[in-house]
Amino acid sequence: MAEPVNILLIDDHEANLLALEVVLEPLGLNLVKAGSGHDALRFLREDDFAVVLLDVRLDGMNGFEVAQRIRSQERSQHVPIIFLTAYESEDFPPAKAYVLGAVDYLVKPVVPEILRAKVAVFIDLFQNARLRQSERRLRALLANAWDGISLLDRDGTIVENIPDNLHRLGYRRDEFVGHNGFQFLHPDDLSAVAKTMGQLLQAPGTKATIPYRLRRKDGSWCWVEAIGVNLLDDPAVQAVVVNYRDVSEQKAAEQMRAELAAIVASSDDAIIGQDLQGIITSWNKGAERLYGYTAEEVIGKPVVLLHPPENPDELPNLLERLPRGERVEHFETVRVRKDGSHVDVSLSVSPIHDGKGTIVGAAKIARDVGPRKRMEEALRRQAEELTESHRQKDQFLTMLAHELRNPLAPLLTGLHILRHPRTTPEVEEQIRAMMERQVRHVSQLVDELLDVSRILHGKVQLRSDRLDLARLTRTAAEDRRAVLEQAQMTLLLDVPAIPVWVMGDPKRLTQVLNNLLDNAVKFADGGRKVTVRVTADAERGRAVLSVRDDGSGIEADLLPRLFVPFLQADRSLDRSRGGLGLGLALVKGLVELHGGSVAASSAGPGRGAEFTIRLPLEQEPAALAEESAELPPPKKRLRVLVIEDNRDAADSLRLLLELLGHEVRVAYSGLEGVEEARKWRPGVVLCDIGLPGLDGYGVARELRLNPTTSRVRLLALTGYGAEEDRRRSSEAGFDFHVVKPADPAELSKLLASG
Amino acid sequence: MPPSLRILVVEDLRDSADSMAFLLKLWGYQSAVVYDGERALEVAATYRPDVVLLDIGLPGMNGYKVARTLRALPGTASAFIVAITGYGQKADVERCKEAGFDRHFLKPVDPAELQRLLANVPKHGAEVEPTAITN
Repeated sequence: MAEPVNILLIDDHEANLLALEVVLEPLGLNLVKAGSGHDALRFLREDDFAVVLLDVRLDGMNGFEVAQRIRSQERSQHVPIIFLTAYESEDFPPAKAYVLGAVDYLVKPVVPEILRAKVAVFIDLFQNARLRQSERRLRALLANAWDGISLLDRDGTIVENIPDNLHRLGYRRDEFVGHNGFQFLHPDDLSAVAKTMGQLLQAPGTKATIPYRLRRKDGSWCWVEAIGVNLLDDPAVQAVVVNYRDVSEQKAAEQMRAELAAIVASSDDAIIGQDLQGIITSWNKGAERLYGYTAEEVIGKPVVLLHPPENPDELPNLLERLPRGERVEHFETVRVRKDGSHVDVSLSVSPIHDGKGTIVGAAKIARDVGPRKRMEEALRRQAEELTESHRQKDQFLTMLAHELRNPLAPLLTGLHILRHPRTTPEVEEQIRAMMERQVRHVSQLVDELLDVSRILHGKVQLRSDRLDLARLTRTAAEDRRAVLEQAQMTLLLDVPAIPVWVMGDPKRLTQVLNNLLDNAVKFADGGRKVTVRVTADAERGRAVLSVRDDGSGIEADLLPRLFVPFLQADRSLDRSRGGLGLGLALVKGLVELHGGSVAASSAGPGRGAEFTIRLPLEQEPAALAEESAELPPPKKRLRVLVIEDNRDAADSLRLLLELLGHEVRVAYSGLEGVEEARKWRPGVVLCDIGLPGLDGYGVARELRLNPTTSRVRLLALTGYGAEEDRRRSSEAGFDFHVVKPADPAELSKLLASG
Repeated sequence: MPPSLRILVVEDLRDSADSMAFLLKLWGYQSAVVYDGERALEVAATYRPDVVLLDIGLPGMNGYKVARTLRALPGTASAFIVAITGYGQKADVERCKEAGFDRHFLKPVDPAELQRLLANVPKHGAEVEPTAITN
């Protein structure tokens, strides 16, 4: 292990040198022979020697001189010199030899064992000195190294720590050395480190690498990478050597990188990296979602893959600006997905720099702005619709003013005529009749107008009942037959003999039919036939009433505007016969109140027109009678709708009612309840009064107004029981008033009764 | 005795037209009544009215068209044409001016005002050069 130790033998007689060699050979040293003082000095300059054996009597320089010269050379200043002499003489007194730095003075012939023993001593000294020097050098090196070295014994006690870099951890030496190393470890790393230590102890001489955290004096944690070697069996070391390096900066960088990667990965936005050649280098989940390509499919491909072919010139511009370090923000453009569909995106592009600050690529963040655009579009549409609606209202008012002015003119003229002295009684009579006519006309207009207005604002109450549409049509049409015949027209009725049941207000439905028939006459324009037909479409649950004429017909572009007040085919024509142009608006409003719809169709001008009304078909009266049975048995299965915003209360009511044998549905708000009632047509509705939004009274009103639900049995559920509240609920249209919590027996009785 | 102006009443609502014509007669004017635009042009050619009381909202040809045509015809180019209409918005008044009307009345016309107007309209004969009257 150790380097060979050098011994210098100086003697000008070769035989002597050989003799020394023989004596010293067993020591295993490197014996260097010098035949002269000059040679010796040279050797001593070039190398280190453990000891010099010097013959006193030399040719040329004598031994003492040589010794002096040796001492004056820096490298050999302190080398031990053993003088060898054949005899004592006063020329070479031992005292002088010692003064010259000899460590021993031997007289030849030398006893071999003695010489070997003495030389061995100096060898030892030399080796020790060399070792200490090595140590010092090592310490000096380590003191300035980043790494630390801990020497641990078997149980982990720190027996030494080199160098004194503990200041980086913040400890004084005595706070570290002598303590057990495990106490400085992070709890989460303990078991891994212990395991590794165990492995090392079992396999001397092997190495193991492990990262862990050391606690700094201030309590913070420092990440280190450590390599451990079990050198317990090495007598020179007798410890487990742990070489550790502070990697906290790397760890911090790694953690930040991991965090950033997580942010990129979890971002909803598409984050795409590309190099300066436009090749995709990274692709996050957001990009996968937005564009449909997986990372494997696109990394390495050119980013133009995403560009719509009709707009390639965007690209050069972008690639130009990047190297200049420019950013692009919120650039709206279009991209193409994997499936070929286009997507509107907003892009932000920024340059990617390497460590030296050179731009090496670009990071693009793309966000799908489709939803935003659609919302903007929807808002724009809404604004347009509002404007249109305003315009229509303005137009309505203008028309209204115009229409009401017309009858006033002859009235004013008439008054002046009556006042004029030259007016004769006959004329007076004529004028008065004309004025009466006009006044009646104005009232009729006003009535029609108010009617339409009320209908459009939902302020008309229908007095609905179950009626036979076939019969109503027959009756109304017959009543109008005279008018038609007066206009030289023929009325044809195609109405079934069996009843077609609908829920409706007979007066209003008659009004609707009359309007349509009057129109047919007004716009007959030479036509002769008016056909009125009623059918029942049981499959779709609809009753259909249609009025067809062969008169002047309607232009295609007027069809959509037909039912708008005042706007109709030939306004002035209608006006000249005394109408306001409101007839069809009235028809539409009334039909819709009945839960139905009206549509007009025409083959074109001169080809007649057909108006079709659809109303919901009512159930057979027999079925109805069964549901709202007046006679017991009490366990009649009813359809019960519960309207209650408190979910628990609602659900427990449902359970109770189901137990009583009824079919139950629940709505948690007034509006939902009204909607459900219309669709499901329950026989009974239990409604909580205290609902948010549309309250119980509101619900009752809504249900009573609508012909499809106006006959349902309404029970109010409320916490109040005072007389006042009972009155209010019955005023609102409730049949019964039940105070919560509802008594099951009472409820059952109420439901069973008629 | 006021000059006997010839007044043509063009109005599709008969009660309005007839009562107006009667009142004019009571005031001592000559009057003729037609109920639509085409008839108005036919009659105007031979009747040569001094004043035309013209409703805008006529069936078929509307009042603006009638006015423009009357202005274009030599016999009626210099007639005093009055619009009688249920539309009183600024835009409507503008339109009347552009169509060549001399005055614009909103229905119902106040007979007193009408009388005042008629009293100040010059009767035009063959010697008067037909020029379009502008305001």
